[in-house]
Amino acid sequence: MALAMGLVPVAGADDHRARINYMIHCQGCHLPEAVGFAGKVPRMNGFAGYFLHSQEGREFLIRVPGVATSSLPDDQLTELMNWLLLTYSAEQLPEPFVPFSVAEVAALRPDLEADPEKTRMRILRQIARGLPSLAVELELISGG
Amino acid sequence: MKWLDGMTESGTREIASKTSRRGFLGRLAAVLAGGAATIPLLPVARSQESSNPPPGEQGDPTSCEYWRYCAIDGFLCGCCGGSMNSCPPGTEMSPITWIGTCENPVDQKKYIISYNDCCGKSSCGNCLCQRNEGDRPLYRPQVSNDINWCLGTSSNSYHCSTAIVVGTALDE
Repeated sequence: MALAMGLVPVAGADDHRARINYMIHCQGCHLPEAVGFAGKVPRMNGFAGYFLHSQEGREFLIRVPGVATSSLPDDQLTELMNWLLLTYSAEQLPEPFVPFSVAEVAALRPDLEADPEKTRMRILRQIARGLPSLAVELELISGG
Repeated sequence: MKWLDGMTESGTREIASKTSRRGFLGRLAAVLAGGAATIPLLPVARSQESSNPPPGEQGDPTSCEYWRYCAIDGFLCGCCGGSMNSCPPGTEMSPITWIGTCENPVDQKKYIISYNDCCGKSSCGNCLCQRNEGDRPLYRPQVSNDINWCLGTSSNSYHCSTAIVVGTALDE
C-alpha cells in the first residue's frame, strides 16, 4: 500500500522492531491490527493518518498520554509512530507524508495533552471541514 | 450424456456402499470441534495463540512457577475450569488486555504474552499467582496489572487470567 501510494519507508527504521514494540506497548488496548474497541479505545487502523492533515493534529498524535508517557525511548517511539501510520493508515495520510523526526517527537512528548477526548474531537472536526472522507467517518455528513 | 449419468451413479453407489452417513457426520464434527481451537469463531476470541507457538514448553500450567506467568497477577484459569489459553465456561474473554514478555526456559527466548482476563463471574479464588515482573504502578495503566482488565466485556466481574503467547519479542 505504501509503495502504491508513492510513499517510501523511513530511512534507518526497523519495521520488525516497530511491530514488536506495537505488540508490547499498544496492542493490549488498541488490539491486533490497531482496530480499536468502539466506545473505549480509538481505532487507528484506517484512521490515524487523518491527524496529519493539520499541524495541531500531527502534534496531538505524539502528545496523547498513551504515546507521550510510553516507556519507549524517543528513537523507537518515532520509528513506531511512522511504522504505524504507514502500515495501518497510509490511505488517510496527506501527500507528501512527512515522517516524524526523533527531534520532533522528543520536543512534543513532555507537552502532555491534558484533555485528549475533547481535544481529539475539536481537531478532527477542524480537519473534516476540508476533508470530506473524514467528515463521512465522523458522520458529520452523509456518506451517500 | 448417458455415459456421464451412468458413471456418476456407479460412483455414488460405490461410495454409499462403503461409507455411512453417521461416519461422515462424526468426522465432520471432529473437524469442526478441532477447528474451533485454532480458528477464532467469535470476535472476542482475538487473542489466539500465534501461528508460531514456542518450539517447546516445560512445566505445569496450573503452577504459578510456569514460565508464561512471569508478569501475571490473578487466579490461573487452568485451576478454574479453563486453561492457560481459554476461559472457563460461563465467562467471557476480555479483548482489551495487559501484555508482557516472559523468557521460555526451553529456548531462552523472550515471548510476548497476552494476559487476557476472563470475566462475567466472581473471583475464581483458586491458584492465586502474583509474580508481577515488569509490572508498573497504576499511574502507568498500560503496564500495570493491578487494574481490572475486564474492559470491553459485558460484565466487569473478574474471574481468572489466561497467558496467551502472541509473538516472539526481540532479544535485548
